[in-house]
Amino acid sequence: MKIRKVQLHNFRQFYGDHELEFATGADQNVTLVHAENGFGKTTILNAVLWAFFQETTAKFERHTDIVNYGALEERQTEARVSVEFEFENNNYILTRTYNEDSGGRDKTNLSAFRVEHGNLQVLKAPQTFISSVVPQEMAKYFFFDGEAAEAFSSATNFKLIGQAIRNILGASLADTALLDLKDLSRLIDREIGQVPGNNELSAIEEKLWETNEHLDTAADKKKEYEDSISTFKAQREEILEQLRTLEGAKEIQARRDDKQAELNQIKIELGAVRTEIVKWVGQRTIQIVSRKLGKETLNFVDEASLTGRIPEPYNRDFVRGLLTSGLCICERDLKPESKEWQAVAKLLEKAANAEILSRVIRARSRVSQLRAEAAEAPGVLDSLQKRVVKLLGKQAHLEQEIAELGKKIQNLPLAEIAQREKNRRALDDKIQKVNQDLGQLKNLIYQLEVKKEQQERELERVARTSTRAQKLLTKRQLLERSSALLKGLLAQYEKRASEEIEKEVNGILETVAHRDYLCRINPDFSIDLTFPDGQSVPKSGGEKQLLSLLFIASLVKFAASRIHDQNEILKPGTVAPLILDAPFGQLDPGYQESTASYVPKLAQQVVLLVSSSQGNQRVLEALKPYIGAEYILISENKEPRGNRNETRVVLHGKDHITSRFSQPRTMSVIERVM
Amino acid sequence: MPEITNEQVEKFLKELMDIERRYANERTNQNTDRRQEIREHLDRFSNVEQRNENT
Repeated sequence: MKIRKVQLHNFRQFYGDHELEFATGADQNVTLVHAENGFGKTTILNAVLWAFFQETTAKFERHTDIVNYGALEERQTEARVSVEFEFENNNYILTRTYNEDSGGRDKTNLSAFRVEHGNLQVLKAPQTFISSVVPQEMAKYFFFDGEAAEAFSSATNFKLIGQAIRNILGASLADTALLDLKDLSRLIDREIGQVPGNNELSAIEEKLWETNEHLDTAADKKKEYEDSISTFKAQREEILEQLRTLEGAKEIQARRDDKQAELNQIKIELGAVRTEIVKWVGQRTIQIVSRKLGKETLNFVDEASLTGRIPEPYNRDFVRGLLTSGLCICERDLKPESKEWQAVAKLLEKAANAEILSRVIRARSRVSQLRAEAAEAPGVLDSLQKRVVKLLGKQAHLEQEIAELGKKIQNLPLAEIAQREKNRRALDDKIQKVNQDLGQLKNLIYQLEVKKEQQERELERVARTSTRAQKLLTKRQLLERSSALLKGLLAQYEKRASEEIEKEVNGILETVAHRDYLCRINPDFSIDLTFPDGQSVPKSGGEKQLLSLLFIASLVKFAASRIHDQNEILKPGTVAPLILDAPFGQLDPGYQESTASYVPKLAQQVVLLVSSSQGNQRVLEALKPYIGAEYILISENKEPRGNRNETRVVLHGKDHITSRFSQPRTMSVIERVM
Repeated sequence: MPEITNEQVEKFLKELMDIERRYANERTNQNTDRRQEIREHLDRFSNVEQRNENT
């Protein structure tokens, strides 16, 4: 999809009619809009988002005030945004209007038309059509507020990152299906309980319903606890970041970081040894328990091989040899079909062949191995236990050292440092407390799941007595298994999407970053910027914005890569204009330039809304080859200039005054400069 | 009770997702209509599979 034109009428600070034609060229695909803060950059981004979905960005202030104040004073109560766009070789116009005088939901109205040979064909379901062009959940990453970008790289970014990956993957389709399957499964449970003439079924179903309700509540609570822990950990990390840079505290903090790293290593080792012990229980107890059995088996096998020269059962090759040679071991002749020949040939029925003998040999070898392992098993356990004791000692020692360093920081004479350390400790306590609650909750969930399984088995047992209940149970089983299959598939796709987006971010980092950075999206969807040795990059505002911008860029690329995806459980991707508000805000000049040269390649159509601090000469030079349309937003003010500074922007060697005073009304206007 | 096969689960889920996809971009009355259609799909699917097993 490409946007050709956006028209505004009495929308926010744009009184009357205004329009912007966007660049649609293959090479010159960038529309650049210059505006100082408050002149209407964010309004243009939000006009498009509002026209498509009646939605605005999080930072858009007073988002319910749609109609221009001056217009309202003149009793003009309607605001309107029209967007002309091209989609799959057809042209469309959509118009959303807002009328202050209409009541409730009727305040807004959406219409959409297909343009055919100059005529407008009305689309009957405009919102459905628009959602098929750009799914609403994906739109916010294309029409993006750069000033809010750092949310993606904040310490608590994991929720937003996870949500963004799921949204751009089109997982909403599967999410809705999962909810539908769950609801329908509960409904079927209810129907099983209502099968006439069976009070027992009804009673079990009632209990099962109750257990399910408890499980839902517990699952919500678990998520809440996990989110709290992640948030507290992130807040603690922010404090530690500050302590790492504060004079007076940074040296002690560096020592504490080292000790903490050692402690983390010890904990990993401890975990590994404990896993070894669990494995020991699983593997070696069988050997110890089967020691007697092993001994008896060996005796049996040994006895069998020693007691007969011809082993019982007889070796098939040996018997065949006698029959072929025509001579028995007692030196009697074995003439074919004679009485003696038939007696010896009958032995073949019991004779052991090579495979049976080999099996005996293998069994003997395995039993011998079991005996040997059983003999050394207690020694292995003893050694593992000694390692646990040693590691626990080291852990206690390190914890003591870390606590002492904490005290040192808190006792520093600087109140700011002491306060931060106090806050850190308070967060530690909170994390510990929520972890304990979470542990109890997990236990409760386990018990409820066991109870649920028992009740389901019980329901199944009793339902066997009724044909109607059995049919319902089959439906229930179908729903449950479909749900499990869908969850499994969704988890696979999310993992793959996360890996691809991480790869994409790292690919762009190689092009634009000045240093050797690596991006990592963790399994919990938190996102880190690291040096190649794995150390985290301390994130300044600039690095945060860079990471967020690259993340958005990768989402957009990922969506484009999936546009023809025929996946059965996901919505396909989409291609839409990338509208970035204040994308370079906090980047240092070097990054502004390298990012500006890269941004035009991110999408087939790019709209950049920049202030003069972002649209500096180096940025403009980098963007120059790609610019197909360029505008400035001018602020007109009713009041006289007084002592206020005049704002200006120099573009292509020409000086533009961007604030005018003593005008007929206060409003923003759009002027095309290229 | 007849055992449901993996193929049956996959087939049921595929058809369910077709319904979900049809309603994906709708905004009005979608929950009620969609759930009603899924319920009908479940009943129909179960009856057909049951008949196939009996023949």
